Amino acid sequence: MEKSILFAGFGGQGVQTLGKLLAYAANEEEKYVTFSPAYGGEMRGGTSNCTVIVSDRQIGSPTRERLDMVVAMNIESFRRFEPQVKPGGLLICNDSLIPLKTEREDITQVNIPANELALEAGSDKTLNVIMLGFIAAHYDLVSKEAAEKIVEEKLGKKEKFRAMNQKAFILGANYDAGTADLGNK
Amino acid sequence: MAKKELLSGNVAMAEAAIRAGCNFFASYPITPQTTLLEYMSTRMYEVDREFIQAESEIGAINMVMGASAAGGRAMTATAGMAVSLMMETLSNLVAGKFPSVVINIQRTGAGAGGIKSSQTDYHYATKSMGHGGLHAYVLSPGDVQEAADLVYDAFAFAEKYSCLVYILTDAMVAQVMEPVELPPMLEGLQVREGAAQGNTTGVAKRINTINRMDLRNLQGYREFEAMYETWKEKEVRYEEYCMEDAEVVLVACGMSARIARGAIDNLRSEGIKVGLFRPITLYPFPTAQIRNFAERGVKAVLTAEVAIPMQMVDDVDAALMGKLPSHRLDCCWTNVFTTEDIEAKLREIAKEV
Repeated sequence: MEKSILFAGFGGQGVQTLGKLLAYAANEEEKYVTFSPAYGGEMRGGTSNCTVIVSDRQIGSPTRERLDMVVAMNIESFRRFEPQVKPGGLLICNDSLIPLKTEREDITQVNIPANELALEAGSDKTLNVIMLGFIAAHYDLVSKEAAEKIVEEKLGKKEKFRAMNQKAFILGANYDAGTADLGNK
Repeated sequence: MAKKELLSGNVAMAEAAIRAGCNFFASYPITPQTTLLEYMSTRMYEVDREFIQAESEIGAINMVMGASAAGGRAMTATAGMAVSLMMETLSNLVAGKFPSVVINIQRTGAGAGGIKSSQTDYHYATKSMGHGGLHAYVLSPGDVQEAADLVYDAFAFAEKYSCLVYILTDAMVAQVMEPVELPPMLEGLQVREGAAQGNTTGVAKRINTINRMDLRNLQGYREFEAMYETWKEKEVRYEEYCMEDAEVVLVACGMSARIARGAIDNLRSEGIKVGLFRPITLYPFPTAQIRNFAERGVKAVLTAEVAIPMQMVDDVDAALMGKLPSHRLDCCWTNVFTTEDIEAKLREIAKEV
């Protein structure tokens, strides 16, 4: 089984880190995984995206035209990447910043108020960890335990941030998106 | 087996070089090589080896040549346009037989170019290392693991043949992060014989093997010629994927081969007999292996490259000698072909054979 996920948002929203954390978690579980950053003029305020592929066999291209899942953190990302979701695929939106609803009937849109949840965790900088928690808990990519361990390992060097990121992860993992169909599996 | 580490191609190549005994690294930052240099800047210090951020690429390659002359295991890393700055020294370096390693992480196009990944330095790397017509041993890694493995082996190869090993990779391989099993740290390496370590014997020795002033001295060039023949016989490397009964063969290296792999899988699952032939050495090119395709039952060949105009296809055509139909698939770096594009092209060719 091979799954492709694209993360996209403003530079500064932690999109690259989010992708890397998922890739580290997949590696933790000894899966095949690639993390492919999109470099360009992408800096704070610009747009930034990355693609992660998780598989149980050797991975070919680390970037894909059609994706199983797109995680959009802002409006521009929604507009640019919504058409690239495969039929039957998922569009996960940070609806704190995206007041849009897809017109496609062949994909499932799932909304998470990531910025609000991040503020609840202690800082809106944790919104990428909120997203990781939600994805790890609800979708069959990596286990929640592996993802949680990686957050602790990579973002837990200072006690203050360790606690905040841990809280963010749990808030994301426990979030009830309110839709019966989360498009899982 | 030890757990694999998730590393980018750049970091994996840097760490592999260190583990292979690289003790001198001089370089100047350029996208997409910068993270390699960044990693080396701290890691070389940790292992107590020489790291220099040079004032320019010209400085960097001259330092590499000097370090190599003195017995160092020297490397630099850069991108296409900055290899141009190094060319004069690269010609001297191969002529002088200074073992060393150069990594070229290809970015885009001619002139100032762009920063996206491409394969546009193929001819430039394989046909002549600067003026004079001498060659480097040119390698093309297909993924992060292989990038690490090739760099690791490069130092021993460079010393074995007193040559330049030139890793011609691309931004895709350099920037993607993948699980890698790193090779072990080599310990107790000896300084190679013939290195300039000071005059201990009282007898002057020459460290440069070609006397450029002596126009009658062709012997040195004959030796290079013989070495390249040896490489063609013994040091050609390539990977075959689904080639056993393949009727349509895709020839691609580096990022193109990677993108193509999924297309081969998809078509094979439908019973269409396609295979992938991936040159790992670009110089020497696997000419004999490709020339043999027809005898193996191959009916048509497709070459795919992220380059306009295509370059490697010239070597494929020279190898085929017109024995098989040779198809081409190119793309521009701003709109790189997808696995689906390659699949469609292979399907079209498979219908004709």
